[in-house]
Amino acid sequence: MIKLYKGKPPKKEFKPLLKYQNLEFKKKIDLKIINEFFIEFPEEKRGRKNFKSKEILNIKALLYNQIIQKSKLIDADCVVSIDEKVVNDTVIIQVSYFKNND
Amino acid sequence: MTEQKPLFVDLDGTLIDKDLSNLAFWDSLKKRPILTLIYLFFFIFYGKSFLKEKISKDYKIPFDQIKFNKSCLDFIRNIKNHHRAVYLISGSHQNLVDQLNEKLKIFFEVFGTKRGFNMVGYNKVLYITNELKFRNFDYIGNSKKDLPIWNYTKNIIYTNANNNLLKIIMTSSLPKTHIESNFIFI
Repeated sequence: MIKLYKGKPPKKEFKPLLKYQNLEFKKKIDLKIINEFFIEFPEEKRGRKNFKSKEILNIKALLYNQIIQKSKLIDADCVVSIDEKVVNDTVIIQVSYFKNND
Repeated sequence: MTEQKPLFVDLDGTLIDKDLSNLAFWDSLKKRPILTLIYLFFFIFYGKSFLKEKISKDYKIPFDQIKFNKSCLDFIRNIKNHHRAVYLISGSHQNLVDQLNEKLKIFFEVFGTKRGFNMVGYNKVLYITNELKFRNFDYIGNSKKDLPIWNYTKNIIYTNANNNLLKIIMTSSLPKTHIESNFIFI
């Protein structure tokens, strides 16, 4: 099972995979489809707010899926999320991978 | 050897009896002779790492024809039992060392030659100290090319050494550990 940590993982349990430190996973926020939908059906927009922040959450979920897939690929046991940020409509998640040495 | 020191292990001649780059080269020459000769021509301009990448691209290691150094594997297992990380570092291309790692599954990580960086001799020291940020480590090797690494680690751990290398090792004042070479099919 892959463990997820926000801070540093226990040193005794995990060692860093040196090739996979501070990796950035990026995905651009694309509101084009939502905007087009609301242009076509403006009545649907009533009562609905914060489309962008919801889209950011969706993209983060997709990125974390990618991160977990990558950890399976490189045989990592632990993922440490270092930073999540949104820069110029791009969601960036920086992670490091760790492995159990036993 | 302190507990925290990682151990780096050479591949060709140390852990296995053959040189994977040589095997990949002859395989490539047999399957794609003209293309391999073209690669050889470009090797003059782009260096060994380019040639290794091209010849290793589609090569599948024939594990049934390769003998492994059992004593070396036992030594690694013993080190691992002391909770030290063991890394494979080789002049063979990353594609090949990844395949070997898939087979053995005993290394914490594996590092091979990449585009623009031939992981041989002192380049290994540069990679370990600059990229991986290890100042203190041990290294198992078997050839003259490994001498600069042992000079850095101040500790010679060797196996399957030829007479020339043995003479040099014997004249060295550094501490030495000899691992018997015992190659078997696994």
